[in-house]
Amino acid sequence: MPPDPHSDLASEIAYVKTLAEEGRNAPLVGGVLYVIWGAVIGAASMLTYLRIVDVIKIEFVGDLGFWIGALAIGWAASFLIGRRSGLKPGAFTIGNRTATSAWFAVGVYISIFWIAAVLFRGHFTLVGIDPKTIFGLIFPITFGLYGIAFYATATAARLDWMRGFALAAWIFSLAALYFINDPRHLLVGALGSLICAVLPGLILMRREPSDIV
Amino acid sequence: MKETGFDYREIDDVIHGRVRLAVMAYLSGAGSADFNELKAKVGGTDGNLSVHLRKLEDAKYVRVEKTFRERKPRTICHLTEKGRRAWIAYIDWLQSLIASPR
Repeated sequence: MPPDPHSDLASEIAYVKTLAEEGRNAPLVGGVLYVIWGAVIGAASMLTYLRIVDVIKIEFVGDLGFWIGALAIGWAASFLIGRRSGLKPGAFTIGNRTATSAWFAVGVYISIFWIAAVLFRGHFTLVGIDPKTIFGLIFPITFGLYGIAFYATATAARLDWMRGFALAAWIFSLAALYFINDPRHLLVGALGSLICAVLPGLILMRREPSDIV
Repeated sequence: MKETGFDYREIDDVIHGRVRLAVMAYLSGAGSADFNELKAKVGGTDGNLSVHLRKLEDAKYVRVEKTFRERKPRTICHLTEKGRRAWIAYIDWLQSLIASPR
């Protein structure tokens, strides 16, 4: 019996379809970066809160140098550990490129905002605005941007569950705004970092391919 | 040929090969991929894949970008807009083939 050309064609199409779906559904590979920054900012926020309410009595905790140190740890860990994410299979998919761009933009803007808030402290005091209020805006803005980045990433990588983290981030944004000028906004920041960065980071890490290409 | 709805002249020879077809299929989903990632997905040797990628690059279906990461050379392949259009046309051709009477 001669081979059925339609059968051969069907298996060829099935092969092509499988490959196309594998390419489209390649997992996101930057989970470790979410974990690094969530852990660093969450821990720094919690320690600052505990210092303000006098549970920790170390002067250095919570001041400008402490936060610069925390950010330096975050960037160092991102460089040493996080850069390997870019070597994993799927790192160049549409989903991963969108996620990288969105989160990079978020990181850049938050850093610029924080630096500007530090530099403009004198000006704020001069015009009668408490600089602490400006610093209190960092978490509402940060979580708002997290939500946008989660939403864009969810769409590009077709990860519907990630929209839940977008919603959670916006809720933390509003909660942090509500507690502005209240030390509890740091608790909101710590909890938000855990739920909106560490948790999704761990979920992504479990799905990531382990090999480096 | 027209009575079957199938015209062999519509076959895109650039895509119509096992390895190139696999590369185009994977890139149609991923958009871009590292050379080693492609090799793992479509199989074959470095040399074999390079030859097929060159053919796709010559047809401007794929853009090949060479970079360095951690001092190691890296080849990243991107599906171009022309390549995506050709891929869609190829899929249409396959569909017309299936629709043709046995």
